Formats: sequence, structure tokens, C-alpha cells
Amino acid sequence: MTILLVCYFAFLLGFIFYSALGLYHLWRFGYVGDLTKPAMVVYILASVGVVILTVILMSLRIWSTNLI
Amino acid sequence: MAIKGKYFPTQAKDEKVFLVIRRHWIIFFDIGLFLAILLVPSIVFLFYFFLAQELFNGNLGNFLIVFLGMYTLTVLGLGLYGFVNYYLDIYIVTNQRIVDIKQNGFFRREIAELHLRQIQDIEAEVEGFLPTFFHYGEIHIQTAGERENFIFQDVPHPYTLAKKIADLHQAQIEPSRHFKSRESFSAREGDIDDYRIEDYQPKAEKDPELDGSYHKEEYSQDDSNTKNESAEVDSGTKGREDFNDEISGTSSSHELSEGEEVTFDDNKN
Repeated sequence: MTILLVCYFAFLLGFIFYSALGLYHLWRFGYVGDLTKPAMVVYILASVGVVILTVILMSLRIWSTNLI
Repeated sequence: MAIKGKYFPTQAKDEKVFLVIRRHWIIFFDIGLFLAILLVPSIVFLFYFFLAQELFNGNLGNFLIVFLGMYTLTVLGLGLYGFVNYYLDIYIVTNQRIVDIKQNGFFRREIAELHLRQIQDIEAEVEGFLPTFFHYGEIHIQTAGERENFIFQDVPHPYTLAKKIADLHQAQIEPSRHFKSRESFSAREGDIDDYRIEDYQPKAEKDPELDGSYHKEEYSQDDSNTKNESAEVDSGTKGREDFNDEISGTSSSHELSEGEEVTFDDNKN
């Protein structure tokens, strides 16, 4: 089942890159007083929350050392 | 209160932003609702995972945790994409032009602009149940020449906005008009009712130096033949009603009636 963990962390890298792109757009083209900053904060909090929750759930499980 | 500093890349120093228009919130609500529905499986899984852990023993549980973790992040990523597409699409109306900024995904951004003088016709349209119920629709701005027409899609209160753009267009094409208090205009989103068209009515007597086109003229009224009045007026495109407005604040209290003639005597000064 190690492959699952490898897939997850590879996905996480892609997700971080993708999020950085989106957040960069909001940061660059947003203006003072609009909703871009709150949206960025909500997105970051939600994403980090999901990742933390997933990692916690994964750490509670028993993972075999087999690849598949 | 007008937005200070630059609001978009090509904004000129003396250019004031009057309206910042985004598509109606119901457009993003559709996307948000769809994404919220997509999140239901993750929430259900989480609920059952803590309630009945024995159901998820073994590899199935591991697989579901990883899969739903990735799935939830994907839904959040789609939400970010939808928000960027929705929120960074902006229509900006300044005292000089209309700027249409379109954000298509992360890697395509188009900025088109139209000078207010190039506007030929403005048409507002509300069609359908939801647009009628939530007061949003399209504004078609017909341009001079072979340029593509500008279309504001899914904007809130299209009739009001069309009227205000028409007023700004009118103020732009009449050289005698100038703005009494530019700083009093609001450019915050949604505050489209904050600015008053009265704010840019001509006040030549107060600020004669503002525009070089202002000059003195004397006129006489044929019907009364009583006196000549002097007033600060613009000799350009001013109509009879505007002329009445201009002279009403001076020593003359006489208002011109329909059909009444006004003659200008340029020799007197």
C-alpha cells in the first residue's frame, strides 16, 4: 500500500503548485478592499485543514510495507 | 470615495474610476453550489469513519482516506479556478472609457477598452426567470466603426448601469460639462447608486478657470426687452434647458418658456 502514500504526496506537490498559481493571480490582480484576500485566506485554511485531517487519518491506520 | 492609485494597468493619472462591475453573485453561487454538492461524499465518509470505524478496516479504509483526501483537494482547486474566473472578470467604467478585463483560467487575461466617445448606443436586456428574479442581465454597448460591440454579461441592475454609462457618455461628449467634485464619487463594487449625476452638472460660475472653453457672452431676450444679462455659459452644444439652468442662478430669474426666442448679441461686452 506504499504506492497510495507515494501517489498522495505526489498529488500534494502538484496541488501546491496549482494553488500557488491561483493564489498568485488573486494576489496580483486583486485590489485593496475586494474579496481576493479573504478568498485566499479561506482557500489556504480549507486546503491546509484537509491536508492535516488526511495526514492525521492516515497516521491512525496501519500501512503495510508492500508496494501494492 | 474614489479609488486612489491605479485600479488597472493602463489607467491614466487623471482618470477616475466610477464603476467597478462584476458579474452577479448568482453566477458564482451556481459554481459554489455545484462544488458543495461535490463535497458531500467527503463529508459523508468523514461522518461514517468516526461513527463506524470497523467498516473501514484494512486496505479499503486506507484507499478511501487517500482517495477522498485527493478528491476534496481537487474540489477545492476547482473552486479556486472558478473564483479566479468569476472574480477577476471586471468591467470598469471611468470618466474616459470602459475597460473590459476578462480572466480565462490562469494563463489567459484579456483587456479591451472603449472610449466613452465611441459609444453609439447602449441597450440593457434582462431575459429569463433567474435574471428577472435576481435583477441581472446584459448590457450591449454599440460602438462606432467596425469595432466589436461591448457586452457586459450577467451584470446586476443592467437598466440602472446602462443609464449611468449613458450619463457618463453624455458628460464626456459635452465639452462644457465638468466634474464639480470628483472625489465624492464612489467606485466601490455594488455602490453604483453612490454617485450622483448632479455632481457633474456645470458650475461655471464657481470654477471658471477649470475649462478654457468657458467665456462670457451677453444675451438679450426679445420678448421682455427689459435688460441684458450676463452669464457664464458655454457657447458649444448647450441646449435650451441647460441654458435655463445656467442663467437661473444669476441675476435673472426669468425662465424661458417653450417657443420663446433667445438671441445673442456678440457685440456687447
